[in-house]
Amino acid sequence: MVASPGGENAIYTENGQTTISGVGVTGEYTIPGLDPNLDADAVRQIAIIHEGMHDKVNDSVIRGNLSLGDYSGAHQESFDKAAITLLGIDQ
Amino acid sequence: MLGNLARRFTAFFLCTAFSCAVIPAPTGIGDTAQETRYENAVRTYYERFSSGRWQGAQIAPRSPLESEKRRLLEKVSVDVHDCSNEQYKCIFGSYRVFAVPRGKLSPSAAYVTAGSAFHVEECFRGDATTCQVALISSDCQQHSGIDACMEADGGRTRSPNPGPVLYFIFNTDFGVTAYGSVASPAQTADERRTAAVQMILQGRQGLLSK
Repeated sequence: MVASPGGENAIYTENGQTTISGVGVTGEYTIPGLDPNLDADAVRQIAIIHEGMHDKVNDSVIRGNLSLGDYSGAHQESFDKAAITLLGIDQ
Repeated sequence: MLGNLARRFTAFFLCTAFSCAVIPAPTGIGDTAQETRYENAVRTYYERFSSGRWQGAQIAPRSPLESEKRRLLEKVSVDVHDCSNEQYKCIFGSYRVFAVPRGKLSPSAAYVTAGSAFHVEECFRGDATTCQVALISSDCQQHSGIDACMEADGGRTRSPNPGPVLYFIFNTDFGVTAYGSVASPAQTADERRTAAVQMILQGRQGLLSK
């Protein structure tokens, strides 16, 4: 995983590498759908594990026939929930 | 495959014979060093093709609301493959195949390449023999591997695992100017047009323009 200084607040996994923006590394950000009361460090860990799952699972199996845009929205909840379970965080 | 090898060999030969900088071999994507970008009509989402990846993400507002300032956007992406050959300019990714003939596109053209069945659904500009601006369907009748297509015995209706149907508008001057996909074939001309303009080209050089 690498931190990307400056630029947009974005996180992504490509070619076996997860990149997270500078503001993401500090944990000072929000992720839609997550409990707003979660502390910043928990949010950061969830985001990192979520992205790591793109690298480990076969995205195409989950994506099926969904377009990139539809997949982008559709996978958020399940990936975040899986990360929360792995981390043992109560929401 | 042979077409790809020939293009790579040509690029290599030009560089060694004239000691020039690397000349990129032409591909179905065009200049892969340059990104080709599409946005939805409301400009809240983009997709771009660059360096063999097809990436999509929400577009952040220039002036984010206070509640959005710390929102982390996720980009998702898939591999894009060059399936071009002597007959067709072609790319595919995520069960979606874009391809057009290298020669003239006829107003009633139907062809199969990279496992997808293509059909000119509507010709917006052309004559009896040539269509310059066309709405083309690309039917991925059956999944093959993790992101490719293959023809199904008996067609889509008998396929155990049908893929999406891609609709795109191809203009001979600009390449693919718009595209979109649906789970099953659109039934009317209006539905096809609507599907084909989900993503709209930004700039003057679209996919398959070279």
